[in-house]
Amino acid sequence: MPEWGVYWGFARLRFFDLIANRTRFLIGVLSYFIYVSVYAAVYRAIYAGQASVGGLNIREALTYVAVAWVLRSLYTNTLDREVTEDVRRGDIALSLLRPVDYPWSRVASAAGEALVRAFLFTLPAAVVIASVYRVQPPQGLVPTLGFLLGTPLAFLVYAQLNLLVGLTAVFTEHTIGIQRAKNAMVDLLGGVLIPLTFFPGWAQVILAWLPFQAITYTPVAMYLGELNILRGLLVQLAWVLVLFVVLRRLWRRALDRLTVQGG
Amino acid sequence: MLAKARLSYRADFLVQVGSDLLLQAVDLAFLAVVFTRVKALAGWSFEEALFIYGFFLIPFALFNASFAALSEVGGRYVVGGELDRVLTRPLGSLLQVQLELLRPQALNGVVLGLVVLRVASARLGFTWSPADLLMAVTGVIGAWLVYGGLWVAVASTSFWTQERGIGFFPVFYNTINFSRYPLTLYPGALRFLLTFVLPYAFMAFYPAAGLLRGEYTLFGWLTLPVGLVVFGIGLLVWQRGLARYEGAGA
Repeated sequence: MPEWGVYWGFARLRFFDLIANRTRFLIGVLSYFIYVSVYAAVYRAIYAGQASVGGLNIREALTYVAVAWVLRSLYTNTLDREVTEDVRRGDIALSLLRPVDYPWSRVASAAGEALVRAFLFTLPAAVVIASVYRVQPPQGLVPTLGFLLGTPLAFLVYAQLNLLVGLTAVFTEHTIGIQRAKNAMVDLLGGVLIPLTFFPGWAQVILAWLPFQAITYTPVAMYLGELNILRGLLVQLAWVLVLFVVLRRLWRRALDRLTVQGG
Repeated sequence: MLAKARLSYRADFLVQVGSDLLLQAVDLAFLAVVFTRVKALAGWSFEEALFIYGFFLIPFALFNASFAALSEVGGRYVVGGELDRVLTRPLGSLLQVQLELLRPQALNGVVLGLVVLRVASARLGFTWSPADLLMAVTGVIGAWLVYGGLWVAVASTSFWTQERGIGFFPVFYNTINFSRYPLTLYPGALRFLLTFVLPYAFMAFYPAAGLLRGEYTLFGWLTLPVGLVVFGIGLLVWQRGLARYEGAGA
């Protein structure tokens, strides 16, 4: 494996590539504001007759929806689509000639993208959303720390999941179905649309064992001080490692397969 | 012919239908989870919210099959110059572009919408009178025309902006989210906006609520006229834009 500097190069390249298109971010900020507005309205109606739902009061729930969507604006990327394209066009063979590890170079460029999104997209969206909705700051140092450390871990879980979906293109011709299934699960089962504590008890038991909660619910619950940060961070870290192992194994099998196809 | 070609890849078709159903399942699951926590949402029961959502799916599917892909007009036709080819033929340019961009796979949403409507109306004990059917049909057509008018108008802006990408379409597309749920959820100013400025409330809520409750009957019947007006505006903007088109070759 070459030195880390190479991967920093991938991240930097992506950064400059993205800041060239600024109107896209303006539209993105507006879109996220719309998402939060729709779900905040639903939450307000849920709280019309009760003070506490799933362990959250209304201010916490509105904070939840805002932070969940703002966080989503940061980690979201299209690695799944891009890797599928690489496989289908055969570009992946070219990248194998380079002295870099393909999955790592992909995660690095996604990290570059997340960095751009953080400044051009997530921060402005957070400012706009917080100026309209009453969003609570994290209550104390520990929740702040939990959220700050949980955010990059959420990114790593999401990016690796996306990469896994993209790499399945080596084995199946189409990944659009898997991509859309994954997107749906990240939003619903990960807790973007609704806090996982709003689900019925039996569903919560299942959701706790899936990787999706590590992307949204866990970091946002740490932000709200609803979740012990040591436990939250360990769960996230465990999923980062599990997905890493799965990814390496799948990548090895994909390499075998690509070599066979390439002759 | 293009539509037929698109339908001929069976695997593609099945994947599209399957993942579409999954996306709708997410919304249905969201509603189901919300209603484990409340009996009524802004005055609407689970069955009523389901009824509104089922109605929403039908014109939304028609829109996805017919108008949604107009977001490609800027890049492919106006800036890309494919409109040159279209303009040499003796048929309306908009109609041709639209026929080329048809996506019949998306029509599966109509079936799902009908199923959801049927289940919801059975659970509500709602009996369909001929007048109800007429309101539903004119409502679906009106709602579809609201989508159509908006998309034609936004697509036409590429004649002025020469935008290669999809421009402001994502904002209009994401705003559709407001029409999945009962309008009474939203604050007054937003309701006004969604009725009189960007008439997204006519995409599902007014026609569906018109069927469910007497207080919205008038708005329910207004869906078709509103759709015709919005579509008329869309056509007007297209004509204006087309007059500015100078072709791709310099």
